Amino acid sequence: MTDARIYPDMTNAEYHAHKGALSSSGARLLLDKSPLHFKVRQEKSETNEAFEVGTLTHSLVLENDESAAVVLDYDSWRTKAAKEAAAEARAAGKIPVLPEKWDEIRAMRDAVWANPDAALLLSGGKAEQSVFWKREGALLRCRPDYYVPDSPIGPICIDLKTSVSADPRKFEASASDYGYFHQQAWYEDGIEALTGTRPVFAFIVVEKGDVPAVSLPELDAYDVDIARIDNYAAIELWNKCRAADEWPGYPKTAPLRMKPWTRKLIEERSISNV
Amino acid sequence: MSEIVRHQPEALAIPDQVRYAEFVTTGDMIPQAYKNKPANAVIAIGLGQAMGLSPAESLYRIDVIQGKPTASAELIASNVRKAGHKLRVTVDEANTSVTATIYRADDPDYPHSVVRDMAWAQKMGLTSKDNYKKQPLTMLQWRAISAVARLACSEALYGVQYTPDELSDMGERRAPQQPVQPTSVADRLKAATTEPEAVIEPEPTIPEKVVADTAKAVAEGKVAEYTQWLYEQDAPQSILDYVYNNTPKEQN
Repeated sequence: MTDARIYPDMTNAEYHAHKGALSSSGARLLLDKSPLHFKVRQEKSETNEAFEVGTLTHSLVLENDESAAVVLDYDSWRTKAAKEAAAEARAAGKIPVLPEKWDEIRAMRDAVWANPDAALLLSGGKAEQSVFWKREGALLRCRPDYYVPDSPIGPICIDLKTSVSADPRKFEASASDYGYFHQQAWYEDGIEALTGTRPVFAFIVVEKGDVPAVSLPELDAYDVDIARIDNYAAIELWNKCRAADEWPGYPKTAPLRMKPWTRKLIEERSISNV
Repeated sequence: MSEIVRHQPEALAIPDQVRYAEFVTTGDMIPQAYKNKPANAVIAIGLGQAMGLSPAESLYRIDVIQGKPTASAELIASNVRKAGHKLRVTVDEANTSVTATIYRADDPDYPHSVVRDMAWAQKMGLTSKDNYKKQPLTMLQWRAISAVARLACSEALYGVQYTPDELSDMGERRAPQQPVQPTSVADRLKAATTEPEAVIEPEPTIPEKVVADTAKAVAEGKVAEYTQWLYEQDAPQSILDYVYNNTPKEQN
């Protein structure tokens, strides 16, 4: 049983192996999809290229650590030789990356550190610490990308996002779609439960592609609070499912309605036919 | 005797209102509040219809401010009169205040009055507004009319009780006094990390007795004894510094 505290040196793999603690993404899966999706996905440990690239970007930007990467000199992963070399790298516990992608990741790191606000936030703290706390009898977890425990404005929790666009106006939509409001509330609660102080939360968004633009958008506090309440509902649902060991799929609904636009067309047609 | 005969526009059925609204809200001449908002337009047409307005007139004379329908003060005045009540508006001799009075048709002996003057506008924080500077009496007149209409015959207003500028003013007063651009986390951190400017302490004044005693100690070659005595008296650092700086170094 993991104690409720901050684990500075827990590895990413160890953290993800803690299935007895609910994470922010798990909570969203419970509510946005269903307990069934949560149960099935929890038992798989999925990894894909996007996830690997994300891991590399995080180690490079946050810790300037290139040691996890093995740059393989191929144009793509399509050839047999490339696939074999990638498998070999993975077997050795490394992440294979193509030169073009590697240059892109390094450009993202340079862009983040060239941004004075981002550089200021990424100082005085530690990357990738694991946080475990309890609420309503449930063990919960999060892993802030970067955590500054005692800045002059109190603890700061920073989340690094790579995105197709770092434009804050477009990031607003991603923040809703990918549950960043929920994530912020979840992480704030975790740090607050352990330290007694709600941290200041900041996103550093860096754009993927040929222009590694950087922005530091902040989320509306009211919307984060709405998401916080939603998080509590997820914890309650998780407790209920665990107690009964029942993981239902989609819920029953009221009779389904026609899309408003279709209904309008049909109604108009029937009016003009009278 | 002449009689005013008012043409009553033909009322549209709801499906026709919907079709009409969908068609006209895409046009260039449509007021901004209804542009591509047929649902708002249908509500305005419905309200206007109750007031005896044509659909197009409704869209021009009923505005939407902060999600609520509003009527121009002229429309409010005309609704009051149409309901059979008498509305009188007078301006005082000094041209500083407007009184609007309504005599209800069913109670003509009991007048309802509302006075609006610049003192009232001042209290409401309106005097700095452009239209109150340029045409104060007109503004006061419309405010007096809409206020007395709400007081005396709100049923004649068909639920559209406020003028656009009244609702805008309410919105402005309700708006929280917060900076539009919130300070970012990085800015807050920078502000907290920047060292405050050094405060320059005023030069401490040295008592005349200390100045005289120091000179005496120098003359008598007793600086060390005098300094020792100052230490024993727990003299402030400023005095010890003064003695050190104003005596020959070999005597210290």
